[in-house]
Amino acid sequence: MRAWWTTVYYECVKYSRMRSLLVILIGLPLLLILLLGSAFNTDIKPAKVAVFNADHGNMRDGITLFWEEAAAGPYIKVLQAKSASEVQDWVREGTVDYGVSIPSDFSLQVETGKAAEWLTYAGRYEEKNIAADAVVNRYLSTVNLQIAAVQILGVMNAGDILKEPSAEDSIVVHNLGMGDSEIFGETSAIQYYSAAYLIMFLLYGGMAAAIALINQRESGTLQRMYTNPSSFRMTTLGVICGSGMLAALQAIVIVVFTSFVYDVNWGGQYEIIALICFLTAAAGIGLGITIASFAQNKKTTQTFFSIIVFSMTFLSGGMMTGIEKMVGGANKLTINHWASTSLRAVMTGTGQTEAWQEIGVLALFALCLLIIAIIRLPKVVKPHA
Amino acid sequence: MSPRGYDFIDLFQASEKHTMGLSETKQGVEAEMSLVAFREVVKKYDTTITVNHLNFSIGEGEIFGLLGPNGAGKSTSIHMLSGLLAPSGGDILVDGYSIRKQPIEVKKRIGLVPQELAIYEMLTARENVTFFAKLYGLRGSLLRDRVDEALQFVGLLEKAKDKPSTFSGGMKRRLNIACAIMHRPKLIIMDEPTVGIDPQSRNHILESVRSLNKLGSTVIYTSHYMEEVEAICTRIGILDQGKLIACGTKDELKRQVGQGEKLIFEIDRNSVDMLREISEHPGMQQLDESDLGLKLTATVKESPSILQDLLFIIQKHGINLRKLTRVEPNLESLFLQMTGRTLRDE
Repeated sequence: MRAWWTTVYYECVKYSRMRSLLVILIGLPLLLILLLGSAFNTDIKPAKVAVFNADHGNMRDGITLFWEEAAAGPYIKVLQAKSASEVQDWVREGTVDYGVSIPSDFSLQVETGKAAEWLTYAGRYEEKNIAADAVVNRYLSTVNLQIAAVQILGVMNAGDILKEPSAEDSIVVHNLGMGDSEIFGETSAIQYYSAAYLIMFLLYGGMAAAIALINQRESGTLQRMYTNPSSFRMTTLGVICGSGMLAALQAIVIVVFTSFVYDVNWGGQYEIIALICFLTAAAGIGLGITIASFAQNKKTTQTFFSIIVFSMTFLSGGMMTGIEKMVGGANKLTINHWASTSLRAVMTGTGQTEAWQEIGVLALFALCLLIIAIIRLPKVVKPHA
Repeated sequence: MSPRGYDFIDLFQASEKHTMGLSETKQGVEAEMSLVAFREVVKKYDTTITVNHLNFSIGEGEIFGLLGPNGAGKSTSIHMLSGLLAPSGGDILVDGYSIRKQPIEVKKRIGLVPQELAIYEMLTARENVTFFAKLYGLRGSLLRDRVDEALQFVGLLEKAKDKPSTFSGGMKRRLNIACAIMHRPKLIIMDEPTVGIDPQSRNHILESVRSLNKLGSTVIYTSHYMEEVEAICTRIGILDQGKLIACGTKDELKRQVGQGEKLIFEIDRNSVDMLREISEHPGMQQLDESDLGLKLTATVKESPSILQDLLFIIQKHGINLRKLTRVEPNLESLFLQMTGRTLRDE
């Protein structure tokens, strides 16, 4: 057991010093998730709106209430400025996407029947300007309509017709059937790609075990381990588990980073996510060792493994959504399919029974590959096998 | 590694033997006398026999040189001895323990310096030695002391925190040795430890081998460099086609082959009678003439006894001797004569 632990520890030390490997296995999936998740994301990001309300008249409370309501919606985030010039500065600096300055005589103007006007400052993003404009215009047009109604119908009648201006429903997004729900199921684009690339790179992490064994066999260190009195099985297992630790680190970093930085909702059932990651890494290790036992050298192993993992990711829809429908069920022969669908089910919290069935199939894949790997392992580790 | 350190190892090993009930487990009377004993060892790959009924012993404290052309069975024999390969037949005993029945006990007593640089580039020199030391079960202060000792022995203590990627080829070779000696093995197997390094590092390694031997370790040394084997080995075994074709000290090998030394006489004139008399001498193996008969090369069996006779014959015929050169046979020529090949033959 000590030999196992010693080998695991030193494998981890070695991996911690392989910066390029860490960048590829941890940095690259984070970048791909960001790029693909953002590219296919149809969610509108809230526009940050700086508001300075200088009005001290009768309408002040109504205006404040209006912006509070607006901020409660998904499209506007309100930041209160201390002066009109601060609003302008924030917009200029890009601190906010849009600025609104409400003049001090706004209530007076309205009460005297003049057209309601706010000073607005558009920012650099057109879609955010549109969202903010929609909110501002909804208020002003309602107020102007009220003024007109008062002037024509008299105060009492106008009050009957018009309600207080509200930010609700100022922006309505309709789904025409080709949005997120159609392509990515119940997950968002970033959730979909987070699951797909976590799985793909966990499988690559599994290849690290096979490469470590081949490297050590070729350099003679494995041979040296074999000539010492500790159990060779334990030291070999230590090398493999070292790669398993790398996969664990990979999974933790990807899940934590995407949760906090990309706002990916993983569904909160982290023990099930850990199980899926464990089974995927085990399947990857099994696949890597099996390929290495036939390939016999590092380059061939890397090439074959990359082709297989890349193909599995493609067939399971990890690169192009909707491909599953075109491949006639071939996606179900991939590890990625079962791992990704179970992860997505955990993310959305729907279909728990189905999720466990998918995890069961994934476990079966992992078990079969591990059994083959154990049988073929001597071909990888023994110099004379 | 201090001599005091090796006094300690003797005590350590003695106590270990006692606790393991060595007298009950050791095999054979001869094993008590030799540290390593190959007994009818055979290694077959399908129909190919790589090692063919190999029999030889290595005594404690020897530096045993194992020579042979490529494919002679050297590496296979070393791999069987270190437990990397299982013999197809026969057995190898190390310190009385069978590699077949008690491989762990054998492995405890062996330190293998493989031909490859079996070190981790990503770990520092100290971490490399510490890793392998831990696999030998060393822990705590003993581990630290032994790691320092091994690094100091190979002259890398000051570079302990550096990674091998910053080392020269010779320094890597020395680290390769440090990883095999920190547990103070009784038997150190060195498989071509000086391949591809500069002369200075080679000398350092050869000195290390002598020092290890003086400190009590038995060494098995294989090399393609005859001069190294000649310089450090107390006994030499020559393998060819899986068989040990000769074994002994350098002088014993010379006697086995019957190859004598060469005496080169440079004279001022020649004489037919003198040549006849020299060639009829019973100790003469071969006589060659060159430089218009002014240079005679005599290959003789035992030069000390016949040199005087030959000088007398030359003087008797009134011929002046200008120069006399004595050339002893080297291992290269012995090897060539025994195997029909040079060591570097493919």
